[in-house]
Amino acid sequence: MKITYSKNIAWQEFFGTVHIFNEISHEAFILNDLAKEFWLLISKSNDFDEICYMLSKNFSTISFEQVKSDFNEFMVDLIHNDLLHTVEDEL
Amino acid sequence: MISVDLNELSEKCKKNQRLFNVMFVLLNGCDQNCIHCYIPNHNSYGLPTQKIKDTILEARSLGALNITFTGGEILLRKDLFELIEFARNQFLRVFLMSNAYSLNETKIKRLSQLGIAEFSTTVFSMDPKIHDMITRTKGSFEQIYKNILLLKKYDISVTIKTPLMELNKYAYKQVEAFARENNFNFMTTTTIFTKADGDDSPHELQIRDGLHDITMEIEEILNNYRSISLSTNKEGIPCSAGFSNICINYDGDVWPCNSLMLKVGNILEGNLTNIWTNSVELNLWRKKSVEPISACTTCKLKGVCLRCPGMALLEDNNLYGCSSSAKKIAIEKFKGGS
Repeated sequence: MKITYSKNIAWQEFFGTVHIFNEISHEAFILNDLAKEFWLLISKSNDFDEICYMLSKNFSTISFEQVKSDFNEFMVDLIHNDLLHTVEDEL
Repeated sequence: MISVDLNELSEKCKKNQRLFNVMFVLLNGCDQNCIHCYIPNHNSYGLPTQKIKDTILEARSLGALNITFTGGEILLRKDLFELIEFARNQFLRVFLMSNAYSLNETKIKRLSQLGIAEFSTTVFSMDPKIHDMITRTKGSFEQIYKNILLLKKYDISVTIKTPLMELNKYAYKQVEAFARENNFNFMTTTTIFTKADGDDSPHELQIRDGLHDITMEIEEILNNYRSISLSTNKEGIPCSAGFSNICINYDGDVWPCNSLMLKVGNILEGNLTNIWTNSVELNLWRKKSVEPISACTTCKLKGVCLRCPGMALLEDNNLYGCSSSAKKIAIEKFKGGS
């Protein structure tokens, strides 16, 4: 699946965490640890599998399959909160 | 995911000298002619679009989250929407300060689509005659009132500001009620700035009678709206100017804040990154501003005084001295036992 940051958000990295603001729903969120790494990798790749692969390489104790399984639900949550879009949505 | 405490984040940025807010004074041109305006001339339409975009990119890299566009009147810049869109495409929060006079539904709809964080405007009075008398623009109240309600219709966060002068000294009551009814943020002040060139004629417009009661009442009202605590003259960093905030003027001059017109560089001669990191003037300000101010050390008002270094520099010509404007208000608060 191809993913991209929602155009409705603002975000920035602060002191080891990512702060995200949904400017339409006026909600704000913080991501840390692996969730933050996942978020930052979207700047480098739009491909969910590739992001999971990079994460598993960065954290060698976690397998690619495990990362993919763990982050699938998280990605759905981000899409639900309009923080991420699938690339199909953007077209 | 955890909820965000913006005050805490802002404070942390200030303590760590981490850029958080960048304000662009896009121009000094305006379509109104307010009687108390602190801008002496209205003849510049500002920096080239590309220079502003380059600086926005730098601000993002330096870690900023917030971009504020102010003027003059920002809606007079033909590239305003292009700049907003550019900043939003960098995933920055965009705050606008405008008189809202030349807005219309098409523009407001576009602002809503762009996801701006806040639109801040000024209502001098709910009495159209008084508002128009201050803006010296006939029909201005009717126009901005309509536009403010359109901003609400498109779910854009609005802040209403009401500077108080003798002419509209009790207007805060009705304007605040209007803001409350519509779930807008509200700010008011009895401070009227000296013009940026030092001309203090706007002071003649200040409240002459009843300042004490008004000061006490607006203090109470503002407590319901303040999201960021204001620091009185205690020890430590006086405000975020130059610590987490920076302001870029329409001529490229860089100041710690739009109220603190202390030139620390110019982006036409250098770049924001270099100024933020290496400016001798900015680093001197950061060093000296945290030292105790001798005039305040023994002052009985220090617990209630909201001294603004920018006002101290502009009006009293002493960046590290007493601010007579702040002192005037602090005296009223002190009398009231605040």
